[in-house]
Amino acid sequence: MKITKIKVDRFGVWRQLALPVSGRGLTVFYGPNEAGKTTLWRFIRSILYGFEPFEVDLDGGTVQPVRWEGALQVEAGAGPFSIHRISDRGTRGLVSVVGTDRQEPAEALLTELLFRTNESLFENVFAVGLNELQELATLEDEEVAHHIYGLTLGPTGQKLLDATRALDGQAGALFDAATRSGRLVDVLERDQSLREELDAHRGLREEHADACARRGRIEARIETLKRRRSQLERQHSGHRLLERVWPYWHQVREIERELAEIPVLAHFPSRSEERLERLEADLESSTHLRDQLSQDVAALRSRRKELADARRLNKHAAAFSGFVEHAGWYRDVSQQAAAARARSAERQCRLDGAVHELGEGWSVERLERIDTSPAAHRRILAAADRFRTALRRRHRMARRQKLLNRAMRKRAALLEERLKPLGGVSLDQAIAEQTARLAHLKELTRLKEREAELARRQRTLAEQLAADGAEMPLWIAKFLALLAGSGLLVTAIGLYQAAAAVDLVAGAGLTFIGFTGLGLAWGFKRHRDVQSAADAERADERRSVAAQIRETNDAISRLDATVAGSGASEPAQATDTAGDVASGGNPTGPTPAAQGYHEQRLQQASERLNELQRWARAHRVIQARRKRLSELRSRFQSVQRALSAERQSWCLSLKENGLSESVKISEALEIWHRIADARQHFRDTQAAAAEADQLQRQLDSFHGRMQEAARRAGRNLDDGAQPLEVLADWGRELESLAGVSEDVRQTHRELWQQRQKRRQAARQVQILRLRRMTLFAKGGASNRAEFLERAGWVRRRAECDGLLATAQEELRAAGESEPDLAIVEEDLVNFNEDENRERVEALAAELEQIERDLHAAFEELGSVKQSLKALESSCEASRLRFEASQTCHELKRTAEEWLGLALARQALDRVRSKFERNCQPAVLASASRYLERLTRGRYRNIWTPLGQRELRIDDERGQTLTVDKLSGGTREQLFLAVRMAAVRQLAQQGIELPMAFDDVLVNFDQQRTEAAVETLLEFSQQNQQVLFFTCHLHLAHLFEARGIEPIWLPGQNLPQQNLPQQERRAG
Amino acid sequence: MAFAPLRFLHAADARLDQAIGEIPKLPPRLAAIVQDATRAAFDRFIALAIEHEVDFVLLVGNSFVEADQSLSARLSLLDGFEQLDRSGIQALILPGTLDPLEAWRRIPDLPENVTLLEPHPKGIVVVKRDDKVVARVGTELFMPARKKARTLRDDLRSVSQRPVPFKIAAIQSGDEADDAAVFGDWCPEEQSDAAASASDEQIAKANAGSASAGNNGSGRWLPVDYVALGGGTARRTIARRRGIAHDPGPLQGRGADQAGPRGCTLVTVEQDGTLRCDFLPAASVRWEQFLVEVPSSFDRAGLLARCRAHLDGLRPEACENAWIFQWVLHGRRPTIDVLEDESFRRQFRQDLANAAAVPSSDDSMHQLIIEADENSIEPTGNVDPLQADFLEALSARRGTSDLFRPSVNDLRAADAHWADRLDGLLNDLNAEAIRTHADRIGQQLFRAAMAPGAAR
Repeated sequence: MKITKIKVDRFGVWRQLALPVSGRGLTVFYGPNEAGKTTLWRFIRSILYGFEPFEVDLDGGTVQPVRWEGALQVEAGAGPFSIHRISDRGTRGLVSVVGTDRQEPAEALLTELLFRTNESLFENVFAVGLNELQELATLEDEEVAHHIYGLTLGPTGQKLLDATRALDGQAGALFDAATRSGRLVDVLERDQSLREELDAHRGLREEHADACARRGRIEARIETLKRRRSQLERQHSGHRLLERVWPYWHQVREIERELAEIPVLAHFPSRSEERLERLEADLESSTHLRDQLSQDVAALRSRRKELADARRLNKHAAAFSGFVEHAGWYRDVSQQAAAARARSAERQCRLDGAVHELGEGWSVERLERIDTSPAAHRRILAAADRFRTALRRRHRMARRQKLLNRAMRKRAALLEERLKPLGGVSLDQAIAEQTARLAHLKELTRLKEREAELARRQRTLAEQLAADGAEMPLWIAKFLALLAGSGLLVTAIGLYQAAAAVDLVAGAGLTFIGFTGLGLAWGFKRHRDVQSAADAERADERRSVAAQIRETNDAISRLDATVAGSGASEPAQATDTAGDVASGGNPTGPTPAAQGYHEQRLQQASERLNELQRWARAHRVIQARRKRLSELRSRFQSVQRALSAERQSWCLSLKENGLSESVKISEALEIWHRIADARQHFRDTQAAAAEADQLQRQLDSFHGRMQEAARRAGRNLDDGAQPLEVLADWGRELESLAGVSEDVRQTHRELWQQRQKRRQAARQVQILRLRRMTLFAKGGASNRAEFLERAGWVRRRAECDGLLATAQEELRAAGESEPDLAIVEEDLVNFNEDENRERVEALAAELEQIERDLHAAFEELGSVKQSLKALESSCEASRLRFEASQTCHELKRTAEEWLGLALARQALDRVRSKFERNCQPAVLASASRYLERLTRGRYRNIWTPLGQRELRIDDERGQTLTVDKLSGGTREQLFLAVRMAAVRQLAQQGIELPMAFDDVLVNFDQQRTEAAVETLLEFSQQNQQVLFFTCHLHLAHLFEARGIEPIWLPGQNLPQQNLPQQERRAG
Repeated sequence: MAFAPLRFLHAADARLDQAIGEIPKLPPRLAAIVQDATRAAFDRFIALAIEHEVDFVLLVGNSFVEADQSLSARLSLLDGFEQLDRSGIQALILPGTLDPLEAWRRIPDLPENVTLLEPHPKGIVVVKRDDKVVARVGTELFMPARKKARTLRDDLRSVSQRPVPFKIAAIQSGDEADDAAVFGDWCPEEQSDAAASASDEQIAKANAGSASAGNNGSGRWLPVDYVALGGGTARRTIARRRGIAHDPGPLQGRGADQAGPRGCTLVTVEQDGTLRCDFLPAASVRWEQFLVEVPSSFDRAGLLARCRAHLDGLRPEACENAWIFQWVLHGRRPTIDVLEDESFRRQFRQDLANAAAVPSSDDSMHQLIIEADENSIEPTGNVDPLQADFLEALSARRGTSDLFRPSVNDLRAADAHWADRLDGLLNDLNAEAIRTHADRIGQQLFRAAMAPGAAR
């Protein structure tokens, strides 16, 4: 279908416009802003697909329909047609198709003429404005996309797409990188967990070997201790036996010696025995005290030795104390680490949730790459604000423009409705006519008043004539003549008389009388002459008035005719006065009815003039608003361009910040805020993880140092032991160590004191011995024995016999109590009771110590055996190894499955790539050619990934770019090429509709503009009708230079004389 | 030549406590048995040695896996050796690749009856009975003759009267080793196909006549009478002109590729040089693998009958506690596709478990592997061009594991540890299986994609 003529009866600013359009090739419509290009463009679309509903709000607030009307003459395959559409308010209009005999509804015929395309397709593909060219979204309209992307998919592409989706589904079930889930992940995590557990069991063999070695050492020690205990027990028994036997042996020996050596003494001191006994008693008590102190010293020595063993820990007490002091810190850090791990897990969950909320294609790595710093936030907010401001400004401008346009159209419609009775006469002309008519009416009024005045004058003259105009009666004339004769006679007589001296007086009197009579006659004559002249004058005046009345009546008649002509609707009132005058009657002036009618007409004319002048003012207001609307449109264009720039800036800002390009600010900002939140979660997660790691490292370090300290102290710190429990044990040991140290000090102190006391006691023993020696000297004896011998030889001899027998009996009994032991005489001779006692005590202490050591060794041995038993009975490592093997096998199979999927995906991608490059839809292949021409070969290929509504462009270097990477101009060239290709594709499918461009080349540079003009010309030469609307003169000249004569639309708001000469050829 | 009668137990590749049986989702009872299988087999081996009152046991290679650092393996070894020690049985160990000599030396408290076989310069181990050397065991195929030269009279007396020690060489060879390279010039074969026809039942005669040839032929280095091999996946016996080489195979089968009864070999040397190798089963878990052809006219009952025929021919050993069957069902598509159905597989496994009289279903597990005929996968005749392109692209993707690096890198983006783990496994993966899987996916994809088109 091709348009051959545009006929606008009434649409927008256009009235009765008829534009012939070339049915072939390209037609350029040039017009300045407000010339009505867009209206014309809209008109074509409205005729084809229906008017947009309008509402007209009249001054009175009532809604009245505005009737748009127009027609397009088109040529279709079946011949020429005329598509006529008339619209009422609120409807899309009634269409009629003229030129066919088919008895079908006009809508059906029109649908057939339009090849069953809908308005959306026409607007997005065939009718392209700058907005449509700049908006990516218009290509994503479902039907348009269906033509550009969907139709191109084809069964093969669909197959590939289905295969890709199925493959992605299978791969996602195995491994989903976004959610880090899938069977492979499960197996990997299980494998990693098992391997970590296995690593934890790595040292079991060494642990077992250590335990075995330890067991061996302990058993060897036990053996040694047992042997030692046996030896000591034997020694202890021997000394005990010696201790028991020696007194009896000694007693026997002493008695025997005493008996053998008792002499007879004569001078011996009196009471010497008592004194000696007292001294002995003192000596014995002192000796006993000394011995007691010696025992205490020995006990204290033993005690000190025991404590010294316990103090071995003291070497490591400082280190252990340090660890114990840090127990609280360790507990706090453990709790902090657990809390940090919980926080980390919680924040990881939050992060995962936030990333999941961001949708597909988002991952933590992508999130990490995004800069959500305050500066970036400010930048994107600033870009959003600018874009939103630009959008609001455009919206405001558009609304303002729309309101102004609507109001102006309403006013224009109202004015036009009101001017309609003028019958095509212009308002100024109507005002001029009405002004003239009013002037005529006023002149008529004036003439009628003059006519009335003249009539009144005429009547007055007539009355005066009627009053004065009667002829002087004859007798009066005769009388006057007589009087004059008489007077003359009398005068003459009088003169005579006077002159003749007849009687002067009489003469004078007669002369006077004569003169009086003559004067009276002359006076009467004069009066009569004057009256006659006045009458003549009145007659003349009456004739003149009559003439004036006639002239006035003629003028009134002419004016009446004129007024009647201009006010044809007025009832033809009889111009009675004129008629009266014309009929020669006495003009009596207008009648009151006529006067009222005339005044009514005058008033109507005046009102009409006022009304016209008001309309003229309204017209001027409309013109002013139209001018303002024009200015607004200019500003709107600039705002639109600014919006385009801001949109690009906004998209660039989104892209720079890692977001997908979108013109939905709130949505993008919401995503941005979600990204910022997710990023915050990410930082929180990292911080919590770092904190947890740091705390764990501190704990591990502390634990390692604990193990090292324990190892140095010869302790085996089990890996599974809880550090806090170990520290508590160490603390208790250290507390007891402090007690031991105190005991050691106390023991030292007591030992020193006891030694002091023992020395004092020893000195006391020495003094007593000296006293006893003095006593002995007095008794003539050198020692106690001698003294006792001397004192008690006689008395003692009898006693000794009895004692000796008893002692020997007891000695034998004591010797028989230990049949396994034999006492050598030498031992008894060398026996020292104190030393023997000390030795016995020392042996007992040593035996006790050995018992304790043995007990501890047995306990340790039991513990080691228990741990060995636990180690040997544990099959955890085997189980873990078995499970790890199973998991490894499963991992291999799953990995093979996954890699098989990956391999299949690689092959499928290769097939897809081949398909995408080689089997692109005809639309994009054609668009590629157009784009190459439009960009002078800079971009050569347009293609779309399979199943996606995204365009890809290959440049001259073979680099593939997405749409958002293109500059604004190139993007417009791309979309222009795609639309041209889509039109060509549709044409090949039989859908041939004219293509209309509304200033789509304004953002092209000079070189590409020329290329676009050439491409459009070539495009139009392919039997494609192209209607190109522009307000840029250089574009019109470009086309004109290539043989396309533009149609110069008349400027609606520019004075005619300002247009160039060639522009006035419009219409 | 006369030998002192001798009896020893020869085992190899015990791999104590090594995880075996890479079968996922084993029932707990079976899993416990499989988990303890190697140790149970070794315990059985020790019990057999004591039961048969052997002179010594010979463990050739890979008795444990040092890399596992298994305590259980060490304890089992020590316990077994102590049992042998209490019974007066010497244990001769040849360290292998998995249990190197250093690993053995690190074992504390190794009983005195354990002797590690080292290369010749360290000396040859002698086994004595009643203070007389009955066997000399080394790690080379030739052993030095007596240190001092013997007179002809001594030789004659030695050959005719005095029993000579039985010479044994323990060598870990493995399946991959070339026999010619392993055996070198040790006892050239009399018949080229003797090795192939040799079996466990074969009684090889290390006859006295050949001994003199050995003496004469090698000067001071004499060929051994018995080569105790280890490291192979199957039992094998190679008979040579003098002596035999024997590999008892793994003490416990570790997978379906080591199917059948497994154990050790009781080697008996008679006084006249007659050498007998008797198989003694010791494995706790038995693997069996059967290839069953699925006919184009698929019949479930018929398939079950084919499988049952395989089962009927089996004879269980007393020591076997669990059986794991691997059924490789081989056929052409689309017949074989029916078997891919999980419910069918589950039911068929149950039928197989019920069909086997011995062992019971509680002690056995049946694993199904479906193998499509390669020829049925390749497109023939009227093929979808896309599928042809896919196959062409797939065939172009043949090559090294570098193909999978991008996928591993994708995984690395998610977690570096996972990627490293998978990277380490790449060389162990079956590239052909991956390719077949990809191939099958392609078939499924384009068959599924073609279906709607065909319907249209």
